[in-house]
Amino acid sequence: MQTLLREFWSKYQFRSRFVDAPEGEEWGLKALRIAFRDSHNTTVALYLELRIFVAAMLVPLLYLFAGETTNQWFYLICAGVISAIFLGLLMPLLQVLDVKAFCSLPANSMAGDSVVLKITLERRAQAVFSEALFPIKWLLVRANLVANNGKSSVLKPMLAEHVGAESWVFAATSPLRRGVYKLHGIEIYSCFPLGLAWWSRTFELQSETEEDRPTIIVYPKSVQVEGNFLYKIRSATDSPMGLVVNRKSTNVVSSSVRGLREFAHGDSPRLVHWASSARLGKLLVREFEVEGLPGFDILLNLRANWVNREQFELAVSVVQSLLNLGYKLGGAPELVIVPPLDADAKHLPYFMKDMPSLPAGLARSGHLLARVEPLKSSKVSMNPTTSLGESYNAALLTIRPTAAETADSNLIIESVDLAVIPRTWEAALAQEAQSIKEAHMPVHEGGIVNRRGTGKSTGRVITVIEQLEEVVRL
Amino acid sequence: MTQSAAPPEVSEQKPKKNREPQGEKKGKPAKVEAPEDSVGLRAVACAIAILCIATACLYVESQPMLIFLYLWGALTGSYVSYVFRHQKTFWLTFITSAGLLIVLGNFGEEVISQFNAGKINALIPFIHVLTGLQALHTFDLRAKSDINVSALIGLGLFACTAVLARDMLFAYITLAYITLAASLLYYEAVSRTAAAGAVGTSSERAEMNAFKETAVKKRVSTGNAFLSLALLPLVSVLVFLTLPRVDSLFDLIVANARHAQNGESLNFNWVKSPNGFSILATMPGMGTLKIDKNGIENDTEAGAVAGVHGTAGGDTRAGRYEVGPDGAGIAPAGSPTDGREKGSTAKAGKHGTPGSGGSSNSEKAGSKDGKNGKGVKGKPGKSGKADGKPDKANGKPGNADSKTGKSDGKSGGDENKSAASPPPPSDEKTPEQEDQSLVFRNKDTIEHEDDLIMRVMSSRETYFRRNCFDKYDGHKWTFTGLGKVSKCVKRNTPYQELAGVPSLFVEPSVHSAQLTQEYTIEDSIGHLIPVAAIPQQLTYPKDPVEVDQFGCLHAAEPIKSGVTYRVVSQVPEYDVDEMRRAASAKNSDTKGSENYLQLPTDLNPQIKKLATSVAGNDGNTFAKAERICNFLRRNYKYSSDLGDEDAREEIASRFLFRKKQGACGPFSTAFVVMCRSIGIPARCVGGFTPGDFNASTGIHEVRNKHGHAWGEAYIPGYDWVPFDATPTGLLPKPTPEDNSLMGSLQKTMTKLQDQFTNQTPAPPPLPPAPPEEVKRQAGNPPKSGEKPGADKPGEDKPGKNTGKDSKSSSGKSNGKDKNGKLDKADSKGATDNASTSEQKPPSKPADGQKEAAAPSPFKFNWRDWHEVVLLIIIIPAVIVLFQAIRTAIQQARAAYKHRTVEKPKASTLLYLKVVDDLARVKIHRLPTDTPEDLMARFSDSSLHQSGVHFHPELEPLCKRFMDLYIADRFGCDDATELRAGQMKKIGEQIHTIVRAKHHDN
Repeated sequence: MQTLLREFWSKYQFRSRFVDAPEGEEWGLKALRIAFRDSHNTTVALYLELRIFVAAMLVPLLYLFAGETTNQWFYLICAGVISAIFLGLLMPLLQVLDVKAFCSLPANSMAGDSVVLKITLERRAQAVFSEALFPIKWLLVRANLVANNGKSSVLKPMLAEHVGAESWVFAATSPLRRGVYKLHGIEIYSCFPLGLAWWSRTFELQSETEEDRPTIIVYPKSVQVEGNFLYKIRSATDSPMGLVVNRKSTNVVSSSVRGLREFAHGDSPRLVHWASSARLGKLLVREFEVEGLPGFDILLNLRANWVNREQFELAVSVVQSLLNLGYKLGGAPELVIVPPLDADAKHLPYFMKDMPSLPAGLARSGHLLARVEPLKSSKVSMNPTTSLGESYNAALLTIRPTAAETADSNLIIESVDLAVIPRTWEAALAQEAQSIKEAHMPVHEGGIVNRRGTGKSTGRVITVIEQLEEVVRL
Repeated sequence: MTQSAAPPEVSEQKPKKNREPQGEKKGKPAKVEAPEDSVGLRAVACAIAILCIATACLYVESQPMLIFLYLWGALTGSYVSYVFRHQKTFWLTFITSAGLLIVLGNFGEEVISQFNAGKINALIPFIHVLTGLQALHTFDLRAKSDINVSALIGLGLFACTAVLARDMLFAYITLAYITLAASLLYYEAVSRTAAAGAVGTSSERAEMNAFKETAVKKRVSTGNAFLSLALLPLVSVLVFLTLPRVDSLFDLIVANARHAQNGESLNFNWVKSPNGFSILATMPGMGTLKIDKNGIENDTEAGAVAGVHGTAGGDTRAGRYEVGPDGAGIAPAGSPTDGREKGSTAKAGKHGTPGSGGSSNSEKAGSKDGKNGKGVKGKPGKSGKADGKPDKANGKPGNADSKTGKSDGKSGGDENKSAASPPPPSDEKTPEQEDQSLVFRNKDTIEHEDDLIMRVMSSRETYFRRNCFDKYDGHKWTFTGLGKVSKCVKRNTPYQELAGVPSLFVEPSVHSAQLTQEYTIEDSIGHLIPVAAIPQQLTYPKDPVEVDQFGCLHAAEPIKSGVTYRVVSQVPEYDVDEMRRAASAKNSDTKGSENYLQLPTDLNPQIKKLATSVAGNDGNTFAKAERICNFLRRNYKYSSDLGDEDAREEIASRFLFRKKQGACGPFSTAFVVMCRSIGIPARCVGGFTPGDFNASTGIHEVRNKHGHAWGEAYIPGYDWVPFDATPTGLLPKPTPEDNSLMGSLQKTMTKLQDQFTNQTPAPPPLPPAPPEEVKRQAGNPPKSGEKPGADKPGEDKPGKNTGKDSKSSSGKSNGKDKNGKLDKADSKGATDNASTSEQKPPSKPADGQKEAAAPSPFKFNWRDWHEVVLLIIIIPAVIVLFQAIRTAIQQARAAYKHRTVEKPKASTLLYLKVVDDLARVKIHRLPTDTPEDLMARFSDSSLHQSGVHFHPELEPLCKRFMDLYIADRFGCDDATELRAGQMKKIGEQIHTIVRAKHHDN
């Protein structure tokens, strides 16, 4: 019991901050469902709607009337209803039993995009005779593509008008939200030709574990950053050379030379500015424009006061865009997520269950960002010490919700702040409770506190982002 | 989604589906169903409506104008409801409502008319209502559920019509209905499936040929779908044939309830036939198979099941009365030797005995192959015509005059023959001859015992009454005369109305149940039509049908094999306990006719002694008759042994005192003789027992061996009560359980009607006959050349009429009531009570009518107020119509105005955009705010206190914008476009300023 409670508490830490409407559209028949397993990976279900009960009630009524009136044709009418019920139950069953379904789906997508699935339907009975006499028509096909946080499929049923020897159905999703989607199976429904009862057959995809299911990773939206906001970070430098960090330039080629700096291990000897080196007595190398930009890591605090889902999605998208920018500039920005999601494999949050083990890099960051969820702020932290990255020379950027300007405002501010925060961010947060001004912050880490006058002291806001498109001109 | 091969039909549906308001699907608890766009579904629904309406009008008499209106309404309604399916049209609702009013008005009028006519049959008005409802509902076929409701109404209408329709045509119509219903279900399923999912199929063929391929494929697949649908009627027929046939569940329950009350064992055998395969034999041209309990066997005489016109194969004989050995050899009528004579007399006898040609032509009708009968047919008839005296001139009935010994009639001839010399035993009687007298079979008839006479479809077992005899000479039964014969023809009805015939009068004090039976005759049975007592309606193919004083029905022509007819009878249900107790006061009522007390002069006096001792002195007439019946049942054995024939000994005496066993003939004879000997009017009846119930067909098969005789005693207050004195006899308790649910409803209706009208709906008897006439009929048979039918002027019906007289004298009913009833019967015109004699019947009934009419100076007849009722309905309808048109016009105007409002000015859109932008700086527009109010919020102190700082240019820009907006909205110059441009520019500036707020801060 204690273990259970502990485990519950550990999971409780990772409750999602927002209770969203479950992703996917509930689709179903208002009917009595009777299901049984057809084979090890197929399930057949019968859906009995109200109409068939009405028809079933008509049978004894007509039959009794036939007995009362001794009229043969009452028996004929009664026989018609019985036959309709019989055929209405039998024929859709034959339809669904005669069809095999396969599916192919893309591996990844981006939030806001639609995904198209191709479902292949094959008839088991290949004979032309059976195809001509017992056509399979008006089949509803539904791929059960379920989001991590959802229960229903995000795909609506598709209609296959006629299924020949092989037919395809293309099912397009509505624009998907960021997340991980797993294909649970394919369902086919039929009520052909009388529509009195529905039969469905579910083809479950064979997989031993949940992680092995076919998956679509929907990454957050990202845009290409074309602005020069990094200079704002550099301008805050306290280096005598105006340099924030010494960065390796082996893999950076640029024709725009910004200045000189001290030689660092790994610099190409070709870049040594011999004249200046001789003059100053130490090795100086050319510093290129790009190279001069400060490196940065990005912190995403899942426990921040995210106002709503849209704000968080905006933040995640900005983080993704900045990460792309960092890698594009040749750096290796580190994504720091608070609280750390991989600290304890035992206490992984639900959305991290299927996280593949990947080396640090853009791919891993992408997977992480596809899964992260805003969490409820917890007073008791299971992990008091957060690793804020190894490189203490790089600036630590964060995307955090814009603070409300007035407490009594009815306006919901959905914008996010792009801010530079100190590496001692957590300690600063702790101290903030006592005294905002006591928080020490190096200049290069955005130590100019309270610049806006109303914001918190734990960082310097570079800009406010309302829409993702603004990141382009950051 | 790739949609390379979407068929054209579905791609048509898709945009239509998009027309549905999206908001309906979300959040609203009460969903408005989407209009149905499928043309196929609507077409099939329309076809079903038309089929149901046409079927109902085919089987239920309807006015041609109404039929036209119904059909036109169904067509128009289907079209109109399709065209206006996306709109909520008031006038459609109005049409439906007004039509419903008219239909209900028509229903009320029909019911009232029936009420006035004294007979309520709610089914037909109800069918009319359903028909109208079906037609009207087509105006409201907006969504799928409406179409489903329409189909259900159609099913109800169809089921109601099925109560009346029993012919083969209805089977075809039913199959057509099932086929249409299958199509309806198919289109509905397609529509529902299409609504559930978007189309996403791609052909497996190459895309380049996709379009062409799809077109071909679509055709093929549609055809295949209909192939699948064709399964439904086929399976329906199979199920129909294998479906077990059952008895009335209501009857079963009632019977078991009574059994439980009486402590008898319960009977749960509800299924009367394991399947319906034998119905195949009833189909035209398919009468070769017969499924019995033991399986399939050839049925050489497979005939039509009652209710279905079929073909009979066998040529068997008519039923013979199994009266036992005593009568064998005694004057079997129709011996070849007297054929000529018979021909003439039969022709002359016009009172329903007109075996005429039949009797004369059938010397050898009994031969199994029928060839002889055919060969001889016509000739004796001709000779009969030639030799016989002209009917009207002679007017001679087929009566025997035992005294004179003259063979002035067929029976008389027979009698003389029998008295003189017994006929050869091999000779057989024709059915027509048997009509004339209760002759007893000889040994030769035994070999034809299993010959099929008729098939009867009946929901209960009844005796089939055929003929009746009142005169007994010690050796055989004859009748003294047919009395007044009523000729019944179809007049504006598909049936012959018998309810007004005096001899078929249903005693109002006797509880009776309505029973409908369908007969299919399988052999030639003469002119007498077997029916269950007491027939009220007869659907016999050929007019006229004559009813004699005994209530026997005579066809104009011999009833041949294959004839099918339907009879609606009021079967009396005797409460014997009540009859034993309550009838004592009526003991003085003795029916009055001495015909029914006639006995042979040389009757053994021991019989009277025996009867007196058996009947006792206490109790009423019924109790005495019942005691005699029970005495015979308990002390005498039934035997069909024909040996030891002695034609000279009186039947009853020999049976009662010497042999003490016999067939139904001696039993019935002994019963009647004993009753008569103690003064109870009684008569002998011939007919058939219920026959063998064929469990596989659910039909009673009456064979030669089921010929039967029983007695009828006149019980005051209960009319003629049948007594079957054989040990296994069922009468007079033939109705242990009620007939059917419909019968109970009918009885309830009748009771209600009685309560309201305080009169009985039963038909009236004829006026009382003069006593001297009764006497003359009873004691003095008519002389040769006279008609004993009492059809002289001033004569009236004997027997029953006198019985009525007695009844009226006993105070049970008065003449006024009876006359009143007669009024109704005559006014209905369904029965022709005119005598067939050349002389007109007495004018007393007419006088009676006048007398009856006199005390009621004013009689309210709804028919006279027909137009007024219609006006009362139509005038409000017209008023509502005008009001509806007015409202519709107003709605149309409002809708037009609404449409114009829906196109806002460009300045309004710009204004709304600016309002949205201003919300960013916390200047919110309230719904009632004018542009000036909005501007006044810039100087709102609360905003400044909360730290909101406006861009310095924002307020002037807004001011300028609002001025332009007000000018544009309320101005009347031509600078609209110019202002719109300026407003757009200013709006963009405001937008930029508002969005730049955070940057500036």
